[in-house]
Amino acid sequence: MKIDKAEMSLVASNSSEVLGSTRTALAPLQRAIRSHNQLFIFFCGNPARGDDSAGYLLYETLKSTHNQLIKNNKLNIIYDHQWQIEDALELKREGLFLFVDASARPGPPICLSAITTAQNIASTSHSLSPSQLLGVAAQVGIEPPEVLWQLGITGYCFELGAQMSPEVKLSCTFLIQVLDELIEDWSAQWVP
Amino acid sequence: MKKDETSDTDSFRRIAIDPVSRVEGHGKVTLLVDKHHQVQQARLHIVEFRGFERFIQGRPYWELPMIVQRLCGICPVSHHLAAGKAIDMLIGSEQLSDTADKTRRLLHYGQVLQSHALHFFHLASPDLLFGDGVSANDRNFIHLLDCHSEIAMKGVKLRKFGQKIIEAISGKRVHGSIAIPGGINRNLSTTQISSLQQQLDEVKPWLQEAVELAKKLYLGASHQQFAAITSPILSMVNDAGEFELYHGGLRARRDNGTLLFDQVNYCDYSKHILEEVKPWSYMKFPFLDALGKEKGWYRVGPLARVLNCDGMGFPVSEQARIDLMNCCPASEQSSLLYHWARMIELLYCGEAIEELLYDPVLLGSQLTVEPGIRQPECFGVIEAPRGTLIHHYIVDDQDLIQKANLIVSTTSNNQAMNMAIQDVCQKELNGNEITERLLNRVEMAIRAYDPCLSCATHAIGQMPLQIEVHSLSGDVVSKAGRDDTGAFSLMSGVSAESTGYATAHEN
Repeated sequence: MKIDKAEMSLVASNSSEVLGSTRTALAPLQRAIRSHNQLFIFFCGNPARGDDSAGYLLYETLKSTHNQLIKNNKLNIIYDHQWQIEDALELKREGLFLFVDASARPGPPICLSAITTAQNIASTSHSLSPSQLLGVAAQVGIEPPEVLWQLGITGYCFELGAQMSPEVKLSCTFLIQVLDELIEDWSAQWVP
Repeated sequence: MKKDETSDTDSFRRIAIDPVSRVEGHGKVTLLVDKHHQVQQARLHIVEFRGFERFIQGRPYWELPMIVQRLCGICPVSHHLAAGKAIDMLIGSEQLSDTADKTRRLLHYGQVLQSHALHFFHLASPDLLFGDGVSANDRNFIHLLDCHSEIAMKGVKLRKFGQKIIEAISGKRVHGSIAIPGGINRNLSTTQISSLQQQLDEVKPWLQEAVELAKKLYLGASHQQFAAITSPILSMVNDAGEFELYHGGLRARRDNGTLLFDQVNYCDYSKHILEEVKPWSYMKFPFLDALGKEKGWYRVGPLARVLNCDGMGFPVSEQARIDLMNCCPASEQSSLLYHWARMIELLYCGEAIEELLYDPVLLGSQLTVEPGIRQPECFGVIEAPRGTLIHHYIVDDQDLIQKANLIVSTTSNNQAMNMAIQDVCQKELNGNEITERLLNRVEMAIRAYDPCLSCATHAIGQMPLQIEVHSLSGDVVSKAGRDDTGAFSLMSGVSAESTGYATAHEN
C-alpha cells in the first residue's frame, strides 16, 4: 500500500490549513527532537485491518524515503503488527522514542501525547500497549527512555479486509510530509 | 461404551470448560461424567471455523505462500514454506539451488526456534515453575519476569533471536515473504549474516541450559504420569532416518515402538492417513489407515519427532536425545515430556542455524531455478513447530486452485489432546467439584501439545475463564468463571465457597 506522491502533493497544496494543524499537533515533538541525537520511531498496525494499516503505511513510506539514514544506523525504525514482550528490549535510556499507531478512540485526526509506565500488567493478553511495554521494560531492569511520545492517528474502521478510510489516508498524507520535515531537520543537526 | 456414544443418558452429566486459557483460539472442553463421578469421555471442541481450504479455491497458485501463512500468527513461516514447496513441485522445480534451499531452511529453523521459545518459556513454564502454589492470576509470564527473571529473559531473547532471523530473511517478523516458485526472492547480505552470527553468540549457551531446565522440571516434579498416553507417532525423517524438519520421508511407529512404515514419499500421504469428521468439532480427526479409526490416531510434534528418528544429526542435540531416551523408557509418554523434547529441538535449531550462518552458499547468486514440467497436483510437507504439516493442492489449466487439503499439526494431535484431558480428569476430578487446579491441569495437558488452537495469535497472560455445567438436554445448569482481573466470580446457581470452587450440579 502506498500513497502516490502526486496525490500527496495535490492534497497538500489544497489543504494548507490541515497541514498547518498537523504541524501544530507535532510542534512539541519538533522541539524535543532537536535535543536528542538518537531517534527511534516504532510503528504498529495490521495492514489487513482498514485504518489499522496507518502505522504500516507510514513505516513503509519513511523507510523508503530515509533509507540511507536507516542503513547507517542513524535513524532507527521498527514495525510490528502488535507490541509484544520482545519489543521492550528495543527500549533504552538515551534517545527520543516515538510510537505511531492508529487509535480507535474518538478524537482529533492526529494526537500527540506523552506515555507513562503502566503499573499493573499482570493480566494482559499477547498484545501490549506502549505504556505496558514500558512496564515490562521496567520489570526487566531497562531504564525508561528519557523522552517518549505516542502519536495516535484516529481511525474509523478496523474490520478485517477493510480499506483505509479517506480520513486516515488524509492524516497519513500530512503526517508523511511533517515527519519527513522533522527527520530532515533532525538529521541536519545531528548527522554529519 | 464407545468413546463418542452415550446410550444411557440419564446416568451422565456433562461439564464444560469454556474458554480454555493461555491457549489461543476458541476452545471448549466438555467432560461426560457418570453417576459414580467417573469421567467417561473428554472432548476438546474447536468451535472456530476457518475455511481456508475453501476460500483459496479459485486463487492463482502463486498467491498460495502469501495467503496460507495467514492461517497462523505464531508459525506463518511453516505455512509459507509448505505452500512454497508445493508450488515448486507444481512448476517442476523441486530441486532448488543450494542458496535457495539453505536460505529457506535457515528461515524454518529460526521459526521453529522462536515458536518453541514462546511455547516453553512464555506459555508453559509458568505452570512448570510455579506449580499449583500460586494464584491463577500470577501464573503467567509477566509474573515469571518478576520471580524468575533470568530464565524469563533468556526465553524472551531466544524468541527474539528467532524473530530476527525471520525478519532478516523474509522482511518482516510476521507474514513476510521469501518463497517464490522455484526458489527465493532475495538472499541475506554479509552485514545481515554477520549481525545474526553475533546474536547467536549471545544466545547459544542458553540453548543447552533450556534443555537442562526442561529435563529438571520434568523429572523433578514427578510429571511422568501426567496426561500419560501411548499412541502411534508420525514424523518426517531424512534419507538416513535422522531428525528432519524441512524435507524428507514420512515414518510412523506403532505405540509399541515398532515401525509401521518408513521413508514414505509424502505425496502418498493419503494412502496412509485418512481423516474422520465428528459432529461436535470443526477439527478433523486423522488416523493411520493401517491401524483403523479406533487405534490409528497418532501424535506428531517434538516428542514424536525425537522418539521417531535414529539420531539428531548434530552432536550436542544428539547427546540430549540420548539422555531423554535413557531417562524415559519408550513406554513412558507423559504429555509433559513434549516440553523436554521441544527444548531438544530448540537446541537442534541452534546447531543447524550456526552451521548455516557460516556457510558461504547463503551469499550465492542463484536464487531460482528454471521451471520443469508443469504438474496438475502438488504437495508440500514440512515439520512445523507443533508437528507434521501437509499441504496438498490441485491446480487447473488456468493456474487456479481447484482443491486444497491441509492437515495441520493441531489436527493430527486432536485425539491425543482429548485422551490427555481424559487421563487428567479421570485421575483428578474428585466428586462433583471442579477446582481451579483441575482446570489449569486440563489446560496444561492441551498446552503440552499446542497453545495455538486457531493458528492465529498467542497469549502471554490470563484470559477470562468460564465453566459451564450442562444437562444432557443442552441446558446450562450452572456457570462460574473469572472476571478480567482473574478473580473468581459466581454467575448463576452454583454453591461455591470463597475457596474458588465451582460445584457442578448433577442432572
